[in-house]
Amino acid sequence: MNQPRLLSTPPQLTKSGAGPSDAALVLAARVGEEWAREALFRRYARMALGLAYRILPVDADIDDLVQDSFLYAFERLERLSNPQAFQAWLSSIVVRTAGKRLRRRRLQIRLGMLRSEPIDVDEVVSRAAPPDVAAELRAVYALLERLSVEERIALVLRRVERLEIPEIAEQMGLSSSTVKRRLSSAEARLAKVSKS
Amino acid sequence: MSTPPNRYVQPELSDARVERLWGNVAERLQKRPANAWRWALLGTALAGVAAGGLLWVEARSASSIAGSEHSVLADA
Repeated sequence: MNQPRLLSTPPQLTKSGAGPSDAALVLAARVGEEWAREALFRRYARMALGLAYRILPVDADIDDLVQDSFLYAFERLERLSNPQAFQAWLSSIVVRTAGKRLRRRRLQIRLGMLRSEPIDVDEVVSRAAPPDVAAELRAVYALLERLSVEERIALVLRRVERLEIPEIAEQMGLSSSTVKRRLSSAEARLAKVSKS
Repeated sequence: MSTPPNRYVQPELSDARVERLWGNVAERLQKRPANAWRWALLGTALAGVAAGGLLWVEARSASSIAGSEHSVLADA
């Protein structure tokens, strides 16, 4: 099988300015090239920060979450069967890490080790959002803290990320039927909140 | 195509933040032993424990055989 040639120095940008493919970076990172890890990090750090923030909109918490997700990914690159699919794989790691954080946070709140703070909807939803989008986002974020962790993540991935059910299932590591159940329960509560 | 709503829920995404995060990730990567090394260390430790256990069992059974030989001789 023809493997892309590994480089020991960062390659120059392509004419389009896109730089090396994810597959080339993953292969170089697998053999310990730090520049390749850095390139992957810089390419996807904003995507990971954004996704983490939309699931867990507490700005102070997401730095740790994103760092842990990248470390997890870099240490397990050999498990990624399709190196070109790094972005989707990293997203699923961010989603699952966020789920673990949320479960831990809820336990700490229940044990009285952490104070529950409601999501500041005005802070989270941009003022630049069109009125209909802003209304939907406000309703979603006002409800999140009252949902189970799985319902919450499924609702964010559907309503905010606009992912389809099979994609949500893939990201969360659940079956499509479980995602459908979680979503229908969350949507029912969202409809109730929106009516009242 | 309409803009996905995720565009309107964004944290602060400055270059300085990305730079700081990369600094932390790079530092943590250097501190951690590579996965292969970790497994090799764990494997060596487990093999050592297993070998120690085997030696101990061998030594115990050898001493109990020796003990029973002594008692047989004493009885005789």
